Amino acid sequence: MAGLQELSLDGLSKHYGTVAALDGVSLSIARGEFLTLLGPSGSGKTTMLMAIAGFVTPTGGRILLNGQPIQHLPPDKRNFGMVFQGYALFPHLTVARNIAFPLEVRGMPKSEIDRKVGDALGLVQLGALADRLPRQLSGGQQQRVALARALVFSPHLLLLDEPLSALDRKLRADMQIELKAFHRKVGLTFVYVTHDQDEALSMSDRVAILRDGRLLQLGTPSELYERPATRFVAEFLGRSNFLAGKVEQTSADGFVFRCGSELFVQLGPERKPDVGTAVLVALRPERIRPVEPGSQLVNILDGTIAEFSYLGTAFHLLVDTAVGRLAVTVPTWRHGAPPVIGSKITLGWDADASIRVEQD
Amino acid sequence: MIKLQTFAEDFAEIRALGRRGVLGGAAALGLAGASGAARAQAPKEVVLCNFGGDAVKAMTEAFVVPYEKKTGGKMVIDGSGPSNGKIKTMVMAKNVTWDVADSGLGGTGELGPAGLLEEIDYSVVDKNKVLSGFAYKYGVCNYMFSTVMAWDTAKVKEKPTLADFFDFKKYPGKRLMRKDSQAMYELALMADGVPKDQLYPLDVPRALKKIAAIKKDLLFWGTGAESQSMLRDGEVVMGWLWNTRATLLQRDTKGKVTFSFDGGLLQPGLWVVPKGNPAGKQVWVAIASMQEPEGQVKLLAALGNGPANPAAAPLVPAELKPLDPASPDNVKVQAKIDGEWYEKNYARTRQEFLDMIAS
Amino acid sequence: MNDRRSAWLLIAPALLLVGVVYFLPLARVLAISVMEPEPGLGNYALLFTSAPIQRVLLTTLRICVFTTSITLVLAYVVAYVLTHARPTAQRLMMLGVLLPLWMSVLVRAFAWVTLLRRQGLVNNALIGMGAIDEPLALMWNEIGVTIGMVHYMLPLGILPLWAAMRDIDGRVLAASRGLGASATQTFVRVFLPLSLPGVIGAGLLVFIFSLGFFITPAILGGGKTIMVAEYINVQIHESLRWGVGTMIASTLVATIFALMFALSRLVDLRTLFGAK
Repeated sequence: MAGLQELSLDGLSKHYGTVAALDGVSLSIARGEFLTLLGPSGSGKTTMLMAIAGFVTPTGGRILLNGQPIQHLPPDKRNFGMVFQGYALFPHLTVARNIAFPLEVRGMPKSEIDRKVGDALGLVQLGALADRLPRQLSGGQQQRVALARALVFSPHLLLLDEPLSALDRKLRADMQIELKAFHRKVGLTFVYVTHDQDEALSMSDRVAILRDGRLLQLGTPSELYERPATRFVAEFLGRSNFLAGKVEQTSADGFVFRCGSELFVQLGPERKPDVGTAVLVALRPERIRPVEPGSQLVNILDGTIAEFSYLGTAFHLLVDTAVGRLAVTVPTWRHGAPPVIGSKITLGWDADASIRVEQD
Repeated sequence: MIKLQTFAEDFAEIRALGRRGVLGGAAALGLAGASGAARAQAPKEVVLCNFGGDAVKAMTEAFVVPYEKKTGGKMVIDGSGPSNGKIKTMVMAKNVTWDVADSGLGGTGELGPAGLLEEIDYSVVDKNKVLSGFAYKYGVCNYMFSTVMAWDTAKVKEKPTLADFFDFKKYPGKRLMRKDSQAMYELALMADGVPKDQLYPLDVPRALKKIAAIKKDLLFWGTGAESQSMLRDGEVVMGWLWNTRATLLQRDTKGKVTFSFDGGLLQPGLWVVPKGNPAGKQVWVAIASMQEPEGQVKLLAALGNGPANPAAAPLVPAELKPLDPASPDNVKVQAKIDGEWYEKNYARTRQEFLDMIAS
Repeated sequence: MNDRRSAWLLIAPALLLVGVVYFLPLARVLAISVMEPEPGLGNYALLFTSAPIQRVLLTTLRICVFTTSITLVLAYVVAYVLTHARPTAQRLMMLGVLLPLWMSVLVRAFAWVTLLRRQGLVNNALIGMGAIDEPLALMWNEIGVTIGMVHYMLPLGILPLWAAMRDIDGRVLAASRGLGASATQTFVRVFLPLSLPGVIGAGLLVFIFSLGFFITPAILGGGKTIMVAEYINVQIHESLRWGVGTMIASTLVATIFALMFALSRLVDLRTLFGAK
């Protein structure tokens, strides 16, 4: 594979009339990184990918490959591999000819094409299907042909547009693992678009969360999950409870805030708010646990079980409290008997289990 | 619609061009629809088939009204067009609905020898009421028409001879012929020097050779309307076409295109009777009734067809005489077609003509 | 099994109808061609011995091949533009394509007469501009016939092509560009092959329609361009050589079936005519 390249976006925008599909996005993609663009539909993630690929002409900003602007280049001059939604294999060409396509259009000698196609087929383990037509392949096989085709010409980087969305749930999980392993094997920079948060968390080195054409947060999956910057990010990645309150007191490593009649302590590395400001604190359901009444935990809250569901490994509870209804996930092994609706329960969490987020 | 028209087909269309032809068609439908009802009574109803248009109205006035008044019988006109193919289909299927059809030598020549027509019963139909030479075994003259030469006076300053038709040095420009051998052979042979009373038997190879020699400068018309527009639009400088169309051209172009009966060929429109016609012998009574001169003069006034009965000549109004192909003055300068020859030779010689065009 | 039988029962009336109104007359035509004027294959021998019939067939073939080729090229361009136009423009263009279909073939042929004749609009305009001195022979020959026929056939060519092109997945074209193919390479290597079923379908449709063409050649050919349909008509209606007429008609039908069969080996005909 070619030497690894560095791609960066600088204030990239795409406006359709007054509508901004992409609004001043800047980010750098490291060499060999698996970067996922994640967001709900209409967030601009696909527009961003298409702008990188060259199918969408940006209305502002630059795209830089190793520092050189490339936003004016047509797609065929960028030398990026791309795997399309639904794979977009050429229906009239065999597997081998599909893979040979990018080499043929580059005018490569026949012998070299044959060799490279053979290598690529070996890489995706499809040597036996070289003479099939795409419609004779399963979804997973098509996926691998699309990958081989996108990689065979040693592209600077690989762009993937929701490549797994056409597969069923089980195959999808398998392909996630396969794709991740593949990334490690070829060591190429992957830019991956999806609307599926699990996919993003399980595969990526870093995830960029987009909303309404803006980049909300960029970070590793655990950073995003553990330290979401905004309410939207916290909600979009997993589930979260939100406690809205007013700061009563601050200290070196945290603050105390009032939420209705209750006082809670919040410790964390984020910027300290001034006393009296309104704050929003996110609290993951699995960070809350049932405790004995009168527990020594710093954050304690009494409530009544309103609903519950059994998830095999855990119980999911909805608990009515003085600060509203909270979602609580309790591992089954920690809960002796099944919960009883209407029974009293005391909830507790550590001071560093919650995180302050921006209201957006 | 566009194909090789027969004269009968074309004259049916002529007046329809000027007025609205729809009425005639509707009348034909109405009349034809009524035809089944009165069949039981004697004398049997006679169904006359022509090519529709204004010919329905004209023939109703000229033939149907006098016949019904005279015999008390009934005659209806079906304007659906008695092409040779239709008559053959009818007779072969033994489902004949027409008693008498407006046809020509193309009909007697192709249908007669094939046994698809009744022989004319000359004990009822009067041979003396047609110009001599136009009463045949399988058909009797109904009206007269001519094939004449017309020319564009802007390009041809003096009245041309038939030989001039083949002289491109004298008159450059395209020439127009009918896409059928009838009359074309005769005019070509006369142009080649054959006297008009010594045409038959036709020297077909000589005529074909004469025509083939100028084929690249020939256009061929299939319908009367086509012949008219090609001369009117200046596409050709001279053409051989029917006198009825030539008359219309002369009138419409105010004489820019004109014609002459000199060197023309006088031809008959013929009544033919499909084999096994439904009215049986009553059809001869009907045909005999249509030989009366008064009706035939009406047809001349309406459509330009010359009376078949020589006795009609004195009844023709003076202003129509120069346009009547059968008027004694015009008959004198034309050749007369030989129906007997056509009965024997038409099928073969016409095909040779078509093949010459196609080659 | 039972399902299959009831399926046959369901389509039986349709089969019967097709049999009675289509195959029965066809069988009669075939029968006449070997029975008249006498039993035997004498009529078919004419295919090999009669120079005029061979010439008519050759003229027909030549005109049909030209018409089909020219129609395909023009229709391809129109269908391509149509496929890539915006929806509003597409609707307007579609109207333009379909409008001539509602016009009588006779009217269209005569419209060409006014355009193409010696003193017609085209010749007058060219002479007026000083481009030519003498009027061009645009009509009363095979050029005129071909022009008129191409005009008639265009919608028949455009519609199957448009349907085929509309079905081409835009992502496949994007994939081609993304994989390094230029716009031209993408057209030649991807778009063209994928539109090929449409090309074959349109070509077949236009060719078959052209074989039976009658009115346009009769009007624009100046009476000299005799195509097979007109020849058959004269045999049936005028010369009453039914044996010869039905023989040529049968030959024509056989040719069309042979063409369809040959093409069915190449492409799936069901996709051509939208049945799949």
